[in-house]
Order: sequence, then structure tokens, then C-alpha cells
Amino acid sequence: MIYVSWRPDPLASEVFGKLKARLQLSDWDDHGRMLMVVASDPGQQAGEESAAIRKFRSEATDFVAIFTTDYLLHAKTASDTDEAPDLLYFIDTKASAQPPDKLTMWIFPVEAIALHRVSFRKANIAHLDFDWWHGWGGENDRIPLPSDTARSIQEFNDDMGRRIDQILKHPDLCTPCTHPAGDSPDDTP
Amino acid sequence: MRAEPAELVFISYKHIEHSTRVARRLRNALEVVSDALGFRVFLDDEDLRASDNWQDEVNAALNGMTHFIALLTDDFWLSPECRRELNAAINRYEDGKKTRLLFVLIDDMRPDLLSLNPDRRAGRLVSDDPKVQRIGDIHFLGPYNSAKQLVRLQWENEAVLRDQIKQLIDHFERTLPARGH
Repeated sequence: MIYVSWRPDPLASEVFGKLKARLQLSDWDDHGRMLMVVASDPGQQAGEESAAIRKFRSEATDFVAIFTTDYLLHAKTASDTDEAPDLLYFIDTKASAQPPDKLTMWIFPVEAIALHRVSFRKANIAHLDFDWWHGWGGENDRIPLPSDTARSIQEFNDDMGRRIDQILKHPDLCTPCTHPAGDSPDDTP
Repeated sequence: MRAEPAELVFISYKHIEHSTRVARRLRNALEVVSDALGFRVFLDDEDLRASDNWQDEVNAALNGMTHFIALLTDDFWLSPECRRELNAAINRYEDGKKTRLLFVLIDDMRPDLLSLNPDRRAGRLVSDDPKVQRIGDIHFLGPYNSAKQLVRLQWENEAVLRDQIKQLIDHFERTLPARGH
């Protein structure tokens, strides 16, 4: 169960569209696991629809956050309401004393984001610089977005293909995913 | 309950389409990092103007700001309200209140001509305000190109704009007081 969380804008929509189309091409991942994709945009969906999608949170094995400034800002402002936004729900779940056996956290950076500078004071999250994020290549990493040139479109397709392949090829046993909360992963050479 | 951060960032801009869009983008990007870096952001936007006492709130922010970010356009320079806000920032600076004067180039202007003659020509940033001519501590947050030259924000190119705003945040972080860990 791949749970994709995002906030629509023209650039994020490019990324989301490519991600959804590519994942829907496959019924199975590279390890023979059945794929199911749920897209969550709490800001756009009507209340009942949004609540129905949130029910899938507890079943997710992969959380994909399409990072933009607006996505992070919405998570910050929405944290004032009763219902935790997707991002904070999954961080809380992943960082808990007993995280799920299989929950992989992915970032698709539409914009370059310095994770150490993002915090959610009301949710007691001092920063987002966790070692279990997948798909984040540092604070200057962002998906090369397509313009109207064939070359930029190819670069975008290649980059998205590489990032989506990482999800499909991700093994069940992955050190950053499975190490106990609070312990550093022992996968350094 | 934690106290509100002492640092207050005032974003000053002319309410015209492109600088308004940039102002909102910059405000949002600053809001995302404000908890971690320890500051608040003030933007005089439509929501604020819907309230009865928006002018009081603007004045209160001008009286408490520690950072003044001016989004520079020709229209900013010609706007009495923008100049009022700029003068308030300069007064605080001169009064020793350590207000940081930070400029961002929105239009294609010549910041090196800031203190030259009052004849205004397109693309030139000029001022006949003697206060502005005296200020030597105006800091340009950017954006800068790869050759470290000051350029204007590419507000018409969404992807480039987002990269440039990230650069502005990088530079802004350096103007904040060092924080203990």
C-alpha cells in the first residue's frame, strides 16, 4: 500500500501525475508484492472523502510525501486541528517506540528543502532531518522539472523513473527502515 | 507554553501582481522554517486588510520588527506607503534597535545606483532621500546568479523562482542571531 500525500500546484502536479501513472502501470512491485496506491490531498478533498482516505494510513507500507513549501506549510497550519495531517501522522508513527514492521518513508522533493530547518513546534518535532527518509539527496536535491525542451522532459522522466524504481525495488529488510527508534542504523562501511 | 520568538520579520512590498505573488511565496517559505530558526513573519496581505485595525497591526509590526525585507520594484520606490515602511525601518536602524535592512530585487534595477541623483529612469533604483543615501548597511539577500552577481527574481518562471527563494532563505538565516543548541 503506497500512500501518496501532496498539495496540488502546477509543479507538484507534474510529479504526482508521473508518479501515479508509473505506479499504475504495475500491479506488482519487483518483489512480487501487490501494489495499491492511495492519493491524499486533505486540502482539496471533501471532508468525507478525506476521512475515507485517511483510513488507509494504518495499512500503508510506503508513505510518499511530495514536498513543496505549500505542503509543509499546510502540515504546519493543519496541525492545529483535531486531525493530524498526513506528514505528522506518519512521522509520529515512524518515530514511535514501536513503529510498524514495514513502513518506508519517501520524499519526492519538488522544491529543494533543508530538512534541518523544518520543525513543527506544536507537534514537538524539532526537525525533519530523520535518517529513515528515502529518496532525499540533501538540501539542494530536487526533481528536475520539465520545461518545453525535449531535453528537460527527458531529464524529468529519467529522474522520476529512477526515484520510482527505488520504491519498486525497495527490500523488506532495509537498515534505515528497520532499526529501532532512536538507534542509529549500523550500515556504515 | 513557549514564548513567542523575539525576532520579527516585516516583509514590505508594493501590492501589485508580481510582487504580491513573490511576497506570499517568501512569507510561506519563511513560515516553514520559522519554528526551527526562531522568528515570526509579518506580511500586510489581503487577510489582514479585511480586518478593521489592519493599519494598527502594520504599525505595531513596524515598531517591533528586527528584520525588514523590502521587495524592490520601481513601484515600491514610488509608493508613499512602501517608503513610509522603509523610513520606519531606517529610523529603527538609526536609533540603534539593530533592525536589519534586507533587500530583494524583484525588478531589473540597478542597486548600485541607489544613492544617485533623483532623476528616475526605468531600470534604475534612485532616491533623493538623504537617509537612504547615507545607509551603508543595506544587505541584499539576493537572488544571486552562479557568478555571485545580483540578479532579479525570475518570478515568471515557477521552478527557478522556488530555487531562488530557497537561496533567499539560506542568506536570511545568516542574518539571524546565533542560536544555542
